[in-house]
Amino acid sequence: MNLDRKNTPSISVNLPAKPAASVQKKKRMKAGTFQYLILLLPPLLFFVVGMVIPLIMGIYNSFTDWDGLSLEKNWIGLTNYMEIFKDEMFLNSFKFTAMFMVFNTLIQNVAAFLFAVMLDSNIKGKNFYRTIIFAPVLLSPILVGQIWTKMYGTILPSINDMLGLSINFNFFSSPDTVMTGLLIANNWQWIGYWMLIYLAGLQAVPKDIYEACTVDGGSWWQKFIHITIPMLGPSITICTIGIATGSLKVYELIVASTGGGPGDSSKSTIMYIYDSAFMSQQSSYASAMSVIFLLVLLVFAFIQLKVLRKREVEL
Amino acid sequence: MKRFVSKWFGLFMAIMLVGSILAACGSNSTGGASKDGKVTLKVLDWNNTNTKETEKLIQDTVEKELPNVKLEFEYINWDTDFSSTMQTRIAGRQLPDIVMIKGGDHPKYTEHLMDLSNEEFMNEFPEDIRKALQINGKDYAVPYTSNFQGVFYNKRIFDENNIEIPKTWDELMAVAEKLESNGITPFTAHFKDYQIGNSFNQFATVEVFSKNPAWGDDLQEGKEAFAKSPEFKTVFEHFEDVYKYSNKDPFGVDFTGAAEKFAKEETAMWIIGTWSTAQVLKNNPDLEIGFFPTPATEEQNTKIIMQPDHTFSGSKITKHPEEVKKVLEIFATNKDMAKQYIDNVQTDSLIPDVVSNVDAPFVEDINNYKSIGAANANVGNVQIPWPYQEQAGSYIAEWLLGKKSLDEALKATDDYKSKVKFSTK
Repeated sequence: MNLDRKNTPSISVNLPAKPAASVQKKKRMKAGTFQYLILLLPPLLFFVVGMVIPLIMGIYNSFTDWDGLSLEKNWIGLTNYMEIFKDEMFLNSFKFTAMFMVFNTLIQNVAAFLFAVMLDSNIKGKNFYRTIIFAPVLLSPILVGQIWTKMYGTILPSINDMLGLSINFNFFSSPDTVMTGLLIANNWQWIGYWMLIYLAGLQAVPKDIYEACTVDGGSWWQKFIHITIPMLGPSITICTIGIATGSLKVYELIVASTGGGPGDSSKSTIMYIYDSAFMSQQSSYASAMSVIFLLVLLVFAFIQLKVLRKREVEL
Repeated sequence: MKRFVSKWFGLFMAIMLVGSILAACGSNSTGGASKDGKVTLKVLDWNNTNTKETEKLIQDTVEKELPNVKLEFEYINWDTDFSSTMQTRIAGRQLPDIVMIKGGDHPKYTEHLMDLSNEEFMNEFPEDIRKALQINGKDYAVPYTSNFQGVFYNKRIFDENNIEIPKTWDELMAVAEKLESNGITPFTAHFKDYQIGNSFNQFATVEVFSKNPAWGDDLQEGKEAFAKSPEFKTVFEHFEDVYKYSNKDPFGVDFTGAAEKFAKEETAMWIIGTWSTAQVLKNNPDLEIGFFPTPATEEQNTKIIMQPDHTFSGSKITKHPEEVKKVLEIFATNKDMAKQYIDNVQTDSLIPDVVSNVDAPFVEDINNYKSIGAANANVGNVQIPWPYQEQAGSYIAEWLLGKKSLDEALKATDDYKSKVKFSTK
């Protein structure tokens, strides 16, 4: 559509003359902005060098046939990506990781929440119990892996022998029990951490709400369901996302305890990606798997945030 | 004025920080000459037996012969870290000046190693030893030690039970049966870590590569397959036999635990290599350990298995090529150092005329079997790379634990072919 200039009403706006003080203020703002930008440069440089460039390089490599050592790399398009969905080992490792995440999220959330509620009450020696439950958080997952290897392999079987029992504690020796063994080790380490988040959340709940409920004749259970749980919404969001993403990235614990075995029964996705890149010299294929895994993590985090935040708002 | 000073101080600090980051990024961290004119060479080493003693030995010898050269050692675990460390160092152009490479791993790294073919000191080695490590007729490493693989056994247990040394696999199983019926656990098994992967090549050397030395190349070309090969089926079945007669919970035992079991005489035999003896003797210095070759199904293939083990290579991008070559020359020519090295590591030397002084029955046994002729483990190691052997080990484990049938394990091993990079083409 052509607009006839003649029909267009002319607009004339009389702008007030810029006062000298305003110009000076803008100049100062410009100098201030420049200073902020300069100050932002070091972290930006770290971010670009440490995150953006490797990410772009990784995505580029995923479209090549680079083996990680060779001086040459050839463009092969989507071949690596098409391979992934036919790769039974990738799918199995993903299934294992997803199961590990689901069980961890459930167990750790429930256990941490219950411990927090118990240790927020007036029981004797609660600081001692808090310290004991939190202590394993301070250990490295490598050490935790070694502790539980020793526990299942030597300590518990010795107790078994001493008591004349025949309970099979060698959880890491069978594909059927390895998940249980890893869940025990992982939960033993992290429940204390999430318990502290819930404790902080519980202590932030205003006491007058409970008092009002008491006045209205509310029972302990009603207070728990209608006040405690809703008020802990933000803590539940933090814990669920933290446990889930931490479980999806599990690596050190498995390396130090089962090595992904027996067979491939406890090989996590990150571990399979690492082995493909550095052991099997399939760097470009590992890059493609990393890109897919990153997308899965992003989708997952997005859904979690949307669902949980929505619930918080509704509350 | 105060605001002006604080603003410019902030700017100055920011610029200094950025400058220092850029300077750090551009700095050379691959070693170099210090102010006193001494050259520091970095050495990547994966030996894990008596490392303090071997490091001091090498440093003292090099310092004596090359006073201007200092060696700085970095130790890693070959099984778990060597491949990833090499890959990241190569990508970052930070390959250490000298690298200890396991015999058989060289084809992966030739592009990044110094060509030593024309160095005078390489003539110290007999032609067959050089050939065992050459790639396309070129030398990329100074051969240093070799290990031997076979069956280590408890001499006392064998003597007390009147057991003859088995020469075939069937005879080995008869020995295992006899030991078990006498209440003794026949085999030490540590399937938690690398034993299945290692024994995979050990069994394949006597059962497969003895018949077709190019089996792995044929696999790459599609002429052979695990599922089609009766010899490889035999290799897989050997694990079932060992599993049947091994210690309790083999999937929960690692190398250290296995060495302890064998040292405490809880088991009678251990299918492994010479690298294990130092750990066993640490646990029980008085143990009388004997050695016999890995028994094959057919007696003529029962041979001691030799593998060039520790070798030393120079980085192609080192800033001190002359010093690196001089150090490599010391490795190739200093027989006194070579002798002390093998005594410390309890292994065999590839330097001519260097013989171990370790006085142990298994050394005597190895020397006797060596004279009959040894099979080279690297024939298989080069054609079927270690990650492939390890993965085959995982499928064998799944079969032994009832998660796959034998045919499924063999097929899965075939399917993995596309997931691994072969060193040879």
